[in-house]
Amino acid sequence: MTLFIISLLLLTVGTVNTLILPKSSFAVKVAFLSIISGCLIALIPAADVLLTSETLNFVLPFNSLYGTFSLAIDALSAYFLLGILIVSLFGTIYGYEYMKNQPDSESTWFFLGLLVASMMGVVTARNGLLFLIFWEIMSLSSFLLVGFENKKQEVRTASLIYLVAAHIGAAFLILFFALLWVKTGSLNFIDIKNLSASTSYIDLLFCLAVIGFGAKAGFIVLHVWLPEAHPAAPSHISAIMSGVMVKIGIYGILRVLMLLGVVHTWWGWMLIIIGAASGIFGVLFTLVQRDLKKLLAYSTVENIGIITMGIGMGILGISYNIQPLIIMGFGGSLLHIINHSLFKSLLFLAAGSVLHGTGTKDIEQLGGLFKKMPWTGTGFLVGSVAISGLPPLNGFISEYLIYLGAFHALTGEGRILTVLSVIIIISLAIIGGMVLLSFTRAFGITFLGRLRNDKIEHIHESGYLMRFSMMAMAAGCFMTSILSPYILQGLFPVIKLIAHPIIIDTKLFLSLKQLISNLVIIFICFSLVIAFTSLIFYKLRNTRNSRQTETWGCGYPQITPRMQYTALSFSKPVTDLFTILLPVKRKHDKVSGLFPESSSVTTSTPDVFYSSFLRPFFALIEKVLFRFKWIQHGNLQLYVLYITATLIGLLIWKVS
Amino acid sequence: MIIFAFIQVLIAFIAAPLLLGLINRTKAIYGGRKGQPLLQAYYDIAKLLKKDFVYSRTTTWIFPAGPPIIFSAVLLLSLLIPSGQAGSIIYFPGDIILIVYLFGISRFFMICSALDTGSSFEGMGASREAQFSLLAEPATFFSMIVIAFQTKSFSLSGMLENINWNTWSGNFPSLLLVIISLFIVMLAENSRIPFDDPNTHLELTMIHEVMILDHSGPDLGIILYSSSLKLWLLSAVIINIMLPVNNSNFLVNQGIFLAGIAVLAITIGVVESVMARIRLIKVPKLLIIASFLSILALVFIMR
Repeated sequence: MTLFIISLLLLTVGTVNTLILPKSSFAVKVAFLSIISGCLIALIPAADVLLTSETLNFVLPFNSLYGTFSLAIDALSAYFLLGILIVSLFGTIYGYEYMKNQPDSESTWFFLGLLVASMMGVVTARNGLLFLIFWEIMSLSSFLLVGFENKKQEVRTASLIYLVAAHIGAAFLILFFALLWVKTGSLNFIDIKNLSASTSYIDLLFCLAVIGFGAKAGFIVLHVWLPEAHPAAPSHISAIMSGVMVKIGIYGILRVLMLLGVVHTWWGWMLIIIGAASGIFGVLFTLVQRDLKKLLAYSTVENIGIITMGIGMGILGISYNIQPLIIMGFGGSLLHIINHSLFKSLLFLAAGSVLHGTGTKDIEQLGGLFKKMPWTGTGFLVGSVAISGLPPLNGFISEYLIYLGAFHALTGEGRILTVLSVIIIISLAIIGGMVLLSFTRAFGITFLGRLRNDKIEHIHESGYLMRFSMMAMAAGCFMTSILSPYILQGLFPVIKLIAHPIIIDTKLFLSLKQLISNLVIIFICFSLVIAFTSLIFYKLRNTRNSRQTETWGCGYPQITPRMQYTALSFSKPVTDLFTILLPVKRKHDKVSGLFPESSSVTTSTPDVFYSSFLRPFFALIEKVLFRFKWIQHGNLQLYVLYITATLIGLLIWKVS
Repeated sequence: MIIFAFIQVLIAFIAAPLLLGLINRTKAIYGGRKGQPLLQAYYDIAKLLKKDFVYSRTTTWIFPAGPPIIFSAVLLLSLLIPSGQAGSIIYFPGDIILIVYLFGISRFFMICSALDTGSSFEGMGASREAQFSLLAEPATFFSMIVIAFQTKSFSLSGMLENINWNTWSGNFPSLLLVIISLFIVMLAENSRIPFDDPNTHLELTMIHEVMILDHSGPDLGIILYSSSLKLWLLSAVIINIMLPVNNSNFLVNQGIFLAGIAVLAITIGVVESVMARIRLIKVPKLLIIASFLSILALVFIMR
């Protein structure tokens, strides 16, 4: 545990020099090395806990009104720590080169160290107040990182939306912990575990937790900050935010499940409905995006939906006491957490590389980048295949586990479980089909074909550090796929912890592990067959005469790059089926006069939840609160009078 | 018996292009023509394998990587999908999911190869192919749910082996709806009329044929063979559901199975001859009808 504390200190104190000594590249180098070493050092206690499944504790000997400063790493915390550390490590390596030529970027290293340290703190905190403090530091440091390029209007708007959303979520979390304190008298997690509150309060507590953590995780309706904040942030920050920070929300829900001790059936159904809706809407919105990073942000919403469906299935397994549902639901969603961290951060790093190399992230202007940026292209290809859940990469295995759990529910007893199974299987099927469309679109339009806007010049590949991080994440995707039986073995203590006090059937778990091992063997054979066939064709190509010619254009003599399919037209057949959810706003310069000179049409698809629900809702709140604007008159003396009056009122209330 | 499974797969490898010949001969008879020889697909594949490659300058290594991946995926699929009553070579719980996603990876790389050429035709084909498969997947999964619910098994060979006369007599309506739904899905997946015209690559029928417009030589030969094998395998699933026989004699089983596949191929030929390709904006409606038929089948089963 001392290694963990050393790592926390390295991440914060080692980087503060960038804040103190601005414009010093030496300070940046020191900060970079401290973050890297901090991440590497903390891996040791995390791996140790997962391998030996014992809990590490750290309690500072100071007792406040609200409890003790206690940190602990149990199996659940260790698993999430692994995700945080690995993605932050490679994100930092990438960021060193990415931020090198940006002005005033030195202080971002401090905030990055603070972000990583606070995320580590959130997953290890064992006291409600400590948890909220770390949570707030995480929100603030990421807000400052998102708003790095605050000279641009859209970045300022995005960071403010993010701040508001993060604090709305935090408000629900404060309510949650406050209610817990009222009901149990303590904020220490150990004491809360022996909760004996009445049933209705547990339901309220769980709902507060779902809204609070769901705002961070990106559940549907609460997700509107994700597609604003993640594109606005620098690419390695987007990778860390999308790869691990949203998972902290999922960690919160799992931790709350363990704290509350009991599960109610309707919680599982609620999470499954939320998950299915997030998944389907998330992927639907990716189909209309032309900003590469916004597309990836919506895809994060979709994957969080899949993870939540798995957790919902696990909760139903606990409440009906059906072992396969528990193992496959929690196993699949936990595995998907690490898989998604790997391939989503890979995709964001590749998108950042595209932005860095071309100066734009608008896919409608790109095309044919694969020839000039082969490493980025390969990275994005591996990420796309992985996120579509295609064999032989890691995305398939986690989705397979969730499917398998749903099939088990199908053949079990009871009609209600059949409904569960149908919802999960069909949602995953629809999501899978749309993700394939979405990522062939993202990859194909950006990297393949020819450049659509030939005014983009000086397209260059990224440097060594950026390439290294991308290839490391891509290798991680392959490795996670091949090593998934072992990862599943490592998840066993985590599942046991979450499902406590239900005992997990070890035999069933081992047979599942054997099944995944066989699947991995099939994958390896599949990859070997692909390699073998490709080799034969390669040899064949060299022995025959291979000619190069122009693409066949059905006889048209002048094929221009603008004649290629655009991103909007690629997904239009599908998005035309969903016009209620994807309304198209059309701005048309009217053509006037007999000899009109020029005109333009702009189409855009706003987020329907933001434009149709939340924006009018907040506008309504603003209208109501505008009536009370007279309270804020700016007279300082009257403000002091207000404070004094409140204090006296509270004193009277407390005394009486 | 595992040796019978191997023999079935071998028959599948050898006889798959014959299905294309049967379909074309049926269409020719309907059209009053003599038609191509039954073994024409074999001659085409052999001719293509002997030719040289022609590549477009716009393409990268992804373009030549497509055909090997498609071929390997179909190869693995032939080991997973039983081509008869003797079961498949590889089976495990949930292999139906691997089957659907193997179709997915072959589709992914076919779409990427198409987009790689930078041609608007191929982009069109890629977009439509992605759309059709998106809409056909729920129908496939609903049908599989129906059969899994009935046979209480989640491995495809387990599901198909456990369908016998009892299953049919007890659940005739739902199994019939499943077969119709799977037939529509099979037509969509293999780019037959009414979804796509396998004879032309013109604007009206620009889906599968146009995606492989720039492939040449052995690449095209492999793709042609893979699509015939895919047609065989999807037909095998339908025939296995339809034929509830399980004689102890392997040869009788296989004979009935092959006769069933031939009849199905002739049926596809008849469908291709009496219908035209439906308008593209109506295709989603047809695929959603397929999904609703299988939902109806599920409702009947769950009653």
